[in-house]
Amino acid sequence: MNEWARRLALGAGIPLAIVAAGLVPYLAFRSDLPERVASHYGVSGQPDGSMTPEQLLLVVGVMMVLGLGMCAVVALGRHRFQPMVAPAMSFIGAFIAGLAAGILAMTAIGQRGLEQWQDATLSPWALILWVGGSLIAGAAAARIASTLPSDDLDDAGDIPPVMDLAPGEQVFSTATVSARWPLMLGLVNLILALVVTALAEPWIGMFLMLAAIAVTTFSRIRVTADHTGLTVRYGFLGWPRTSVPIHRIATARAIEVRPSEWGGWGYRGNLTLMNRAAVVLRAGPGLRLDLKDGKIFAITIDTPETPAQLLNTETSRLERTQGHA
Amino acid sequence: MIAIKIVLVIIEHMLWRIDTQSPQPLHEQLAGQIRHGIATGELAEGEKLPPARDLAAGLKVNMHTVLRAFQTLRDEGLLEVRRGRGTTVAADAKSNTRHVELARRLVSEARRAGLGNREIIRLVEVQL
Repeated sequence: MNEWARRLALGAGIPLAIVAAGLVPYLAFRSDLPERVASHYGVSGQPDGSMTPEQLLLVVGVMMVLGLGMCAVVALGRHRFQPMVAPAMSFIGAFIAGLAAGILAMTAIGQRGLEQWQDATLSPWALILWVGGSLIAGAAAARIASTLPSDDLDDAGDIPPVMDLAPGEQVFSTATVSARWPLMLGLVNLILALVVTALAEPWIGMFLMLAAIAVTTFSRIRVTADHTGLTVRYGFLGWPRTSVPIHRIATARAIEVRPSEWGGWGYRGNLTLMNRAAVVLRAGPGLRLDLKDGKIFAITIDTPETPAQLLNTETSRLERTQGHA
Repeated sequence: MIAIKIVLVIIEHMLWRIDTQSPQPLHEQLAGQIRHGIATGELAEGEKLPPARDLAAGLKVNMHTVLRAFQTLRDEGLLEVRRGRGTTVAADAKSNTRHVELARRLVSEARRAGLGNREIIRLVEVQL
């Protein structure tokens, strides 16, 4: 697909598909719906709020316009976005629109032929399909947006010289980044979770508790670089981990990381969906890897020159051995 | 005005390097590097070393080579090896490196002067 076909797919193709997914079942079953439809459900799955079908269409329509508007801005916008902005916006936009279309479709299919809205039930499978389908729509939009041209990063950095290594010499670089803010954030989250569990709905508390655990994985990160490539281990258990194998790396260099350029703090982006990913714990020096397929990975560490040199050395070593073979 | 600075991010790093073609045994090279790191402050007291398995994989050496280096340094009082909690630089490692270095110098000079093991031990004992 050329660039305009991709812009058309993001700005019109995906939106049309999403709107159709919601509107077709709605129009088909409109006459079979009760006077008011259930629009909100309690924790136990019992409906506890209702609207007329027209009101529902309006609410859902506003969500869809908002979401699809975000995709359209990315697809039709003449100016280039910062690298990770376009995929992130497209993902959120298509995801919101997908959720909206899903509400319309679920209501139309699930509540047709009911006498009154109180009889409505929710199937867990429909919920899974709803969220899953919306995530897929978001991922598809992000994937397309990531192929559109974007602004270059301000600081490309210099490629450091390779190390002076004897043929039998092996090098291994380690860096441990301990950050306090994820622990503090996790603690606040945990307190919030306990309060919510005690006072209100336990499942929201559970969700917050998972978020508290997730955020603490960024409190300790170990970065190692060697002949196999770059490995990043998160948390006190060293799991999960991210690896960039040496054969995928084209160049490594030291850069200044500005969180705004990478979409904020934490693990930002996604190599598959957005062509870029970064582990950002602070502003300042970082290591940037340009992969052979044009994707970019970055991580904030001190003295990134050392692993950058090491990886460039191992990359050229690998090329030399492959050249001989 | 009092400025309060909270350290939000702490970073420790080290470059490990060994030469498989050097006549010096690999475990000695590794131990020497850790000693040097402690002496220069590159490895801070209390700092956790990478797991032996990772270090061995990264440097393409046998894990026993790494463990042997760790053991030597533990005996010198530079490392603390605790089961399940990893290997850390001992709390008083930096001052210990100096004593270890002095002892090494004493032994090598005494050897050159023709003294045997027992005589060298006696030399130290007399000073106690």
